[in-house]
Amino acid sequence: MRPTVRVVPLAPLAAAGGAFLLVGALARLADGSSEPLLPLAAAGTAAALVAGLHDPAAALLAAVPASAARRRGHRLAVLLPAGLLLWTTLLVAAHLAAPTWGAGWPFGPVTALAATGVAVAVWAPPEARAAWGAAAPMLWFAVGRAAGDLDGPAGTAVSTWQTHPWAVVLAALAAITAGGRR
Amino acid sequence: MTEAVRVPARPRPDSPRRVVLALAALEARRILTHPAPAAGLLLSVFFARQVLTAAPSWAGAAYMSLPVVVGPLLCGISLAAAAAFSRDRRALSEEAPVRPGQRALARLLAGVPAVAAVAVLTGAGALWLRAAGGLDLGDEPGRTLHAHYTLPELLQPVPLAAFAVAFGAAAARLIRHRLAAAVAVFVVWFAVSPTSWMWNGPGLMAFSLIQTQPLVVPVGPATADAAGLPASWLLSAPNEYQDFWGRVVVSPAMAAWHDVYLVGLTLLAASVVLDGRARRTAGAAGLVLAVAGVTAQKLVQP
Repeated sequence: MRPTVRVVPLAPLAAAGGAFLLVGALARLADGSSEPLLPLAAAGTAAALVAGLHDPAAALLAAVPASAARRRGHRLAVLLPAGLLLWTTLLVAAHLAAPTWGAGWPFGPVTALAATGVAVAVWAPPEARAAWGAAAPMLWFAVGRAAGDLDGPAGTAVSTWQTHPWAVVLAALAAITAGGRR
Repeated sequence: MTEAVRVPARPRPDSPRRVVLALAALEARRILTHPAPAAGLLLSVFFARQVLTAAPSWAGAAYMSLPVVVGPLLCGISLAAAAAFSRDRRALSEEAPVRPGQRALARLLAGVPAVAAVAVLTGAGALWLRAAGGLDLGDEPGRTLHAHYTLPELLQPVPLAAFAVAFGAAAARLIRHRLAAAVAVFVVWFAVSPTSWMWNGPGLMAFSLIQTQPLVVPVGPATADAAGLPASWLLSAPNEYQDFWGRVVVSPAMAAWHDVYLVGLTLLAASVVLDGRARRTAGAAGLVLAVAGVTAQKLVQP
């Protein structure tokens, strides 16, 4: 694990954390609350976590006995605690301990987005795994913001990560398991 | 007998200007064909549809929300610009015959077509709004159904698009990890666009990236008789957000100075990626314009 710890990029989580703490502090100054930014914080944290899967040496390491899934597992073992620490820090900084956000609060929605990102990364083309995986949570959040008033199945789908986060996590885990050999 | 041998002319190195323009043209194509601006445009269209079709939460909701719908498009432009500047981190770039400052300038210029596209889209939107008759603004008895944006308000997306290019460039330069820069860019644009109301209170709106007007100036308590107020005023009735009668004011002067402020921010962000004299000039000019823009806004703010 030690070599993995050394090479896993934590810069995305640091960048997301720094951006949120700055924006959240400004929001508290301006409006007295940074709560409206929490869904964005969940998407950014999830994206930053998945971005940590980026492995510049992936092609080189394809020939080693440790499978891609195993190497991904090692990276996630480093990234998940770091992501959890960032999310908890953001919650503390936002002074939000109460369940103000509905289903799965406080870890369900961020876990749903992160799991979705990992599932997309697993099934994405090898050269773009981390990029596609990191884009997935951001895109899901953005679509929800831009088209949140849609009716029918589309309207339900864009908000599922907030309304049924654990179902999303289960579906993503199934996709990750199915792509275990990729 | 001697024979004259025709020696091929030694190729003259291209002028720096031609090199910069050639690289700018190449990068412009890459920025315009990057998937992020297209995705952003699609989201902005959905966002605009949502704003125009939703039941208004307050009088003037559409007027205040429409300027914000450009946010996802600007985010897409920033992401494409960040991708262009991330290419400069490849080791091969060090061996390139084009100096880093020229490459940076070329990539900044490569954003011009994207800025022009935003200007065209804004113009098309303004024409559509003119044809549609305008927007609802104000509460009875001081209300209009035919409100149109002033010219400085309409111009705002153009300096915003220029800032989006420079901001993406600066993020890619300051944050070494390509995806980390992308996440930071996404966080900033989506923090300032869908939740723009957080940044447009009376104290902060001079500093906000996307400024939304009108302002509401208190003119009487909630118990006041609105019929006694001047008939030419647009009014905001007491509601869950305010406990007074307010006058709805659109300030073109403030919007114009906010555009100046955005130009200043753009130059400041560009100075991060430029070098030498260009960096110093852009930084100094940007600082002057940003400070002047904010100061003037504060002076003319109703």
